[in-house]
Amino acid sequence: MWGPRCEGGGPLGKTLEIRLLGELEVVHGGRRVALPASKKTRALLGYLVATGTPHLRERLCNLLWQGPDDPRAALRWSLTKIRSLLDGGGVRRIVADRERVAFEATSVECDWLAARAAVAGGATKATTEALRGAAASFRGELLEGLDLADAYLWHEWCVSEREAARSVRTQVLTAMVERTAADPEAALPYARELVRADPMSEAAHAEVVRLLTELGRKQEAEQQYETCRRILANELGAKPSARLIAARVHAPSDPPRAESGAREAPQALPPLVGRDEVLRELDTHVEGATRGRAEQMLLLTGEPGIGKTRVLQELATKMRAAGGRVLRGRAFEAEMVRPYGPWIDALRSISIAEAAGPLRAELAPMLPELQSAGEGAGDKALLFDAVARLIARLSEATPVAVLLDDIQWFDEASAALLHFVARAVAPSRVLFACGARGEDLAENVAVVRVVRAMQRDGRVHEVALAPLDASATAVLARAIHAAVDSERVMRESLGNPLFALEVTRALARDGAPLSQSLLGLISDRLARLDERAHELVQWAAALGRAFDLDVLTHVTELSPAEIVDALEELERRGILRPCEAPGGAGYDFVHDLIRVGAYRQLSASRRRWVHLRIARALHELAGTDTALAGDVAHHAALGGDSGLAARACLDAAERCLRLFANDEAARVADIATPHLAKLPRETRLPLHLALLQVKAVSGRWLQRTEELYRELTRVVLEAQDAGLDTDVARGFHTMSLLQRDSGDFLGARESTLRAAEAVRTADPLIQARQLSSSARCLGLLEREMDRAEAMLGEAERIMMSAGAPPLGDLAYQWGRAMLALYVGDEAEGLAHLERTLVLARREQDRWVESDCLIRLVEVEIDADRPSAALARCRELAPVAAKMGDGSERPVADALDALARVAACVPGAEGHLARALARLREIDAKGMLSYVLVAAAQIDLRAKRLDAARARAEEGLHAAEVVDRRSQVALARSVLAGVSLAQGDPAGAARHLDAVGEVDRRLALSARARAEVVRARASIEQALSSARERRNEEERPCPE
Amino acid sequence: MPRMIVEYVFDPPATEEQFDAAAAKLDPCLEGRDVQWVRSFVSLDRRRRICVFDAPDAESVRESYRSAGVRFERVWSAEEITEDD
Repeated sequence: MWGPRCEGGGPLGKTLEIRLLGELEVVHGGRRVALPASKKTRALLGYLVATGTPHLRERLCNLLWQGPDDPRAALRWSLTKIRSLLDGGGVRRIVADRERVAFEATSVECDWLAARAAVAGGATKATTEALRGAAASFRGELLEGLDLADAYLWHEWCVSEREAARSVRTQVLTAMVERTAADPEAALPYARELVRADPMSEAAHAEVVRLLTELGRKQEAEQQYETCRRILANELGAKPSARLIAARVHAPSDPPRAESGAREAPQALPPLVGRDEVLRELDTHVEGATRGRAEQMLLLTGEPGIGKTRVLQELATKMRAAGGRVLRGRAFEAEMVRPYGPWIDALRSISIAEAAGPLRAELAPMLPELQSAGEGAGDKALLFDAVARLIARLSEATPVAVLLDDIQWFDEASAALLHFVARAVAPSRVLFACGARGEDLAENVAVVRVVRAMQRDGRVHEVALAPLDASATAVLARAIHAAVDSERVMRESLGNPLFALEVTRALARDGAPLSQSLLGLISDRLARLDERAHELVQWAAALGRAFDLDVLTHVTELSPAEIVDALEELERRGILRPCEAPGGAGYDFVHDLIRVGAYRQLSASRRRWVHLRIARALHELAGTDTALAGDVAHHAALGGDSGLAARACLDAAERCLRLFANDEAARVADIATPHLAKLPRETRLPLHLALLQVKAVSGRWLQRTEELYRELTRVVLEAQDAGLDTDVARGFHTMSLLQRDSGDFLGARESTLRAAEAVRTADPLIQARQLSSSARCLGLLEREMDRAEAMLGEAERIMMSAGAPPLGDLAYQWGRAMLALYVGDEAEGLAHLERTLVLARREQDRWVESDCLIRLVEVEIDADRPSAALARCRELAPVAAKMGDGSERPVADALDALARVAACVPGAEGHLARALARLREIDAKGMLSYVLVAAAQIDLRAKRLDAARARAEEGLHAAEVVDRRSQVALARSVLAGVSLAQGDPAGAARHLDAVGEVDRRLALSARARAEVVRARASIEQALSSARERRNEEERPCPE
Repeated sequence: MPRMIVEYVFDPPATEEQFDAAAAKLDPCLEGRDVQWVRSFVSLDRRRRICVFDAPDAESVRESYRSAGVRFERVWSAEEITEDD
């Protein structure tokens, strides 16, 4: 609200006036009502009024509140605020139910609606009265300043509505110029406004030139012609038309008038006037810091242009004068995608290398130049602590001032860091001072939270900078131009220093300011730049933040020499000033509003082109360094390159995660969403899944997990259709994360498995290997052997068709060995085992090596070849010894003892007893069962029946616990043999009955089956003998 | 079912992805051997981890891990002592 204030009421006094053309205003009973601080609330109000139709709540939520926070609650809250503005005196203008919200224009005057109505039937049909009123109502852009970076749908609506408003304005002004053609003095303001509204319109420029000529203001006419000619050349690549030339021809050029008033001297800082009290406060704070008692953070607030930065500069000067050091950083509106940006700039603004010494590793994520080797592992707490300690170290020798400007644009991570550091170092020799635009500050939830918390602790000293009074304004104005009408300056600027300076300059130039708003004045000043400077300033404005020469050279088509010339000019005119930029020497706008003014001079299409060029240039410059990713994303989005925007958003989001700035990561991932829709499927799906992963990992979507999960499912299904297996795996992995975070562990495991599954399907050889491994697993457990056989067959087929010989595949050979031994094909089993051993040694897989050797020992023992078994044991021992704390050593010992017993080596029994004890200790029941049953068989053959029974029973029990069916059958066979030997065939038969089915193919190992069959045969024979003997006994004796 | 404890050590510290990848490989092997995961503990510096399983014996767990190619320090059978004892 920098323009002249309205006074008096509307024509109907008590009517409500809502003004959309320019900054949003609500006027009630002639007085302007204070609007809610929240931009989104104001945007909602503007939207409802402009559209005038009912909207679904859901639509309004989508329009303005994207992202993880609760949209419906935000909508409700905003409506409450709006109602308190609009409803009253028995009139309800916001009508809402559970589904819809509408604005009803009861007793409401709205400038935009009126202007639109005025030209509804065509401007020629409107009354001059209506046109005049409409023309006067255009104070600026529709809903000026309500640009919401993260509300894409709002942005789209806004752009098109503003286009419509511009079109109406042009119609109205054109009509007014025509109607007042007879009176050039009256027509000129309309013509000038037309040029401002539509700078591309040659006709508008020509009209101004013509009118100025008629009024005898030749030099101005000439200037206008030049401006037009330049715009035509730059924007449209066109030459002046006949009409323009004709208008000019009638303006003979006079020698240029000597400029009246003071020539603008190279810009030194304007004097700091009217701030005596503030300066005294600064002195107090500086002194406090010098004494080591700085406890409070200085917070300078006020409207744009009020002088916050200027005061901070003064503070810097005072601190240096007191022998202290100054760290300076500021936030930029476009930069909310560069976490810790202001802090990084602040820390780089002085030489910290020495103080940073021991803290290099922890600081490295933020300041990678401190440490060359990779990224320090760390976390947020370590990083924050390191920054606090660094600043404390810096303040050991001298007081330190940390000046952070424009904190209303701070990202969440920077705000959190400020809170942490301010608390950590106080009280101390460190003085914190921040500048903030009061209005915009309220929008930034993260910063507001920090400020409030610090206020509660009594750690904030807020200084609200007020507008200057008349005498101070006069002093300021006269410093620029001694003879200026300072009263006029005061009237126009209302004491805003920046505004006052611009008004002064304008008055010095033309004697009369052409614009009524600050931005208008700035635009007028910029319009007077020479061609090169003008072009450069537009690039600079689009870059959006302090820039260095490298970047500028890359994006513009000017030569370095031209750039330097132009920069000097811009510096001289007080538009740019040199500063520290990330790449070294750089430039920044003297005030952000000047940047805004320069930016607004770009037409919509030129803006797009400029941003696109910048995006591509930065992308090239950045290479693999993702520090600029946020900037690239920003420019690519505005430039309409969705692919680049989406990719850069992903890079930026991932970088945010690495810097523990999770809020930003989630937010940036969101910004990418509308751009994804424009990409082709193959590009879109991987990006989309990666972004969803970022959102899940950021942990900021916990309130809306359902929603995220649904989106994820949808995209994963699409990716499956498209055959993008690696991305599908990633999607499942992300699902697993979400499920785990919401406590769904079963779901998480399932998703993990599906992820692994998806990876497997990706590569046929991997699939083959998986099949072989699974087959081997089954073989080891002696389960589902038919399935194992099928899997091996399939694996073989896949390998053959992929041209990869199964002979070289370890998993396959191993699987084949298991199967062969199971079905009793000893020769083949041995061959595959030997092959596996060779491969395992080649791949240095000790576990597979030892496992093969164990199997080889078993084969020899089963085949009753104890010497060969012992030889294998000797091979096994050294390998097992290297296996650490696993079970290999005890197993090797046990097998060795068993082989010795089989070979009747003296003392072997004792050895075996010890080895069995160890197997029990390590709880390896499968191997325990094998050794026990094998030993029991030896005992049985040696007629040591009690020992045989005891060992077989223990072996049976162990085998049952781990469900080794073949081993169970073997144990029972031994027990049957013992019973038989003890003359109890019935008991023996009972043991074998418990074995169950043996005849089905692959139900038992060949060996187990053979034992069972043999035992059965023995039992049968014994039973048959017993029957015969009984029959004999029962036969009557012969007489 | 008796409890089995698996101990691991990671240097450098393990990531979530690594755990997930290991779990994916392990699960089929564990299932085949009737091994059920109960709970896990991971140190805050992510360098140590303990997993608790219900399993018929410790060797079943060892075999599963070896089959899946997942490294571990040791596996042992345990008796659980709780407040109710």
